[in-house]
Amino acid sequence: MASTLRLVSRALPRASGSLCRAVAPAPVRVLGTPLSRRQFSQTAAQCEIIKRYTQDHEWISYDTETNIGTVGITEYAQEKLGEVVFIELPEIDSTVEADDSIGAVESVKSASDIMSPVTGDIIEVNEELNTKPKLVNEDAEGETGWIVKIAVHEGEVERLKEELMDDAAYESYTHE
Amino acid sequence: MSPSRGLLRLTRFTRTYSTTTTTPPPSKTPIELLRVSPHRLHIYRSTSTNPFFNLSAEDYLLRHSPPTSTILFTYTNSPSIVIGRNQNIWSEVNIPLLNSKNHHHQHKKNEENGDKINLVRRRSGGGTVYHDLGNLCWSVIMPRKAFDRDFNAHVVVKALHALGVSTATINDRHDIILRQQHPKNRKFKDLKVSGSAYKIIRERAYHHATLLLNSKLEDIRGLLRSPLKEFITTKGVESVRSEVSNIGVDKEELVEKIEEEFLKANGLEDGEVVSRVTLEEEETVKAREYIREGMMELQSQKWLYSQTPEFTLNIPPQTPLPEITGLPGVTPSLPEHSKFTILSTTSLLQNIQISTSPDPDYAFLQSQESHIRLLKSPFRGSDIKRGLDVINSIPEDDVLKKEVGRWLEVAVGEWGGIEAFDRWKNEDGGMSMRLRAVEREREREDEKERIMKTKEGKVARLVVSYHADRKPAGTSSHDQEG
Repeated sequence: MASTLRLVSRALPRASGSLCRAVAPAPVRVLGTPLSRRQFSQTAAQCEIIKRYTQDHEWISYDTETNIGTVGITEYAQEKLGEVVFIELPEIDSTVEADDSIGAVESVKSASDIMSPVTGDIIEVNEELNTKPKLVNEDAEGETGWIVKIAVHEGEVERLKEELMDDAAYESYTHE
Repeated sequence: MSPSRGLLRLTRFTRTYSTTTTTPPPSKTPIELLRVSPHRLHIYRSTSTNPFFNLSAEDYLLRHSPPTSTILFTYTNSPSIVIGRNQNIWSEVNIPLLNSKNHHHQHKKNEENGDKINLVRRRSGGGTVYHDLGNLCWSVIMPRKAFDRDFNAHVVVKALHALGVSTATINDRHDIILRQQHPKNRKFKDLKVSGSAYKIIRERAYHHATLLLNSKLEDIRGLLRSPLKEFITTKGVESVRSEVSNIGVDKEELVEKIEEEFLKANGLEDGEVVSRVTLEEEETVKAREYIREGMMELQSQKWLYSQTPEFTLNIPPQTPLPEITGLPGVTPSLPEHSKFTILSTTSLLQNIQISTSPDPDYAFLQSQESHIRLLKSPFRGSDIKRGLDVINSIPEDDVLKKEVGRWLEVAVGEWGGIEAFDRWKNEDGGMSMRLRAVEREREREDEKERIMKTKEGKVARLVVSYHADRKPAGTSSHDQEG
């Protein structure tokens, strides 16, 4: 699409450092991502992790250096849903739009959709959940309960930061 | 308003009603009024007994009703086995028996009960249930914030109590049961009369359930007992078997009572207007492409079969396969040392290890060949049979090729449903509603961005928001639906 080029050009200056410089220097991490994805951030020592929440009770933890967002359902959602018995995971390498369904959680006879918080490519799914769906109950927002990793499309970062809720906003959203 | 169509009838529970309610133009079908309805409480009934229509209409109500509205929707389906979203057809349903029943029905179409039994995968979670004309489906669509697994079951229990069914209560699986006490030993016995399932989306949720009134329970016998079940290990959701019973009350009377209790439970105020709508399949389907596409999707092989979670079929040696309908007296068992394991994901064979030889080296060869021959085949009777037949390293007269192959062909059965379904295409091969919506959204975003960049940003922004609410030029009237 014609708009892609424009989006790329818009995303370039931001990715090349303005976010990263704000963070205190730390050791460079070993990254498993292809060069193409990190070429703009080579100079930065470490980048920021931005965590945001959707109205559908998904969380996304976006790493500005790798450009990868890790997505799961929130602690609040898992508590409401009850014991998770099955997670439908999407296909790896599929491209999803923001708000597309990327799977579903089944718990106590209810199926609830998981929506993608951003537009991007699914690069990894949490295969552990195939055999241990309860990890979502035990560790919804932690190391083991995540659902998918998405290579976030350029141009989506701003939307993610501006339009999704931060900790405080989500906190008040769930206590409305 | 067009009273002859029975739409938006004012409830008999209201004493006064507002005269300021807008009167919709007569050309509108009832479903088109949903979005513009100013009312808080809605009562929908469907006159159709097509499960694919009723489930798709329900999905439409879930996704397109005003976010704060609460809707009671009742319908009845023609005979259908309805499995949960994440279930395995082959471990839940006795396919050979179903096929044989449907085969017989073909020959007595116009007689009573000559209806084909549909196989349906619903969009909500939970286990497998049987529907027929003696079963009432009720569904409450509500804001997600109001979602509670028992609230609406209590509404139905109250309606049952009002009709004299005093033993009705709710168990810890959120099902409605009749709790009977044995007159002598005072022990309680629960009979399930209603199974619940739920679906939750962004801001909305529904609780839908069956209610056995006078179902032909003898027709279910055997249909929900699969001959393959003991050989299948599946991810996803397995049904919990319960003893069931009919309630035996009149359907029409019960629907009225449930509607009454529903309004009471949701705090109907004096003078509040309730919208009452009767959905006819033909006109509703004509008016709503979303429902047409939903019906196609439910009937697609992709949804019915490929949605099946990963599972393994494992037949241990020296274990007789059970007798199945259509193959009387055929109960073969695999010889000692043999191996039969198939892994299936999205109902395609992925990892196949089949061997019959006692010699480990030769068995390894057989296993390798079986994998090559069957890899990526659909989990479908004829494909499995054909795949087994062409494994050269297994002798022609081997029990695996002869009886076991034939047994699997019948036990697994063929795939029904619509073969090709593309969610991005509509019936005429053009862009589907879903795709058009995505495209429109993209165009709108592009346009927004372009205008934002101009110097007259402020004025331009107003123009964009003005146009965003309006129908883009050159799109068909369908684009505005829902």
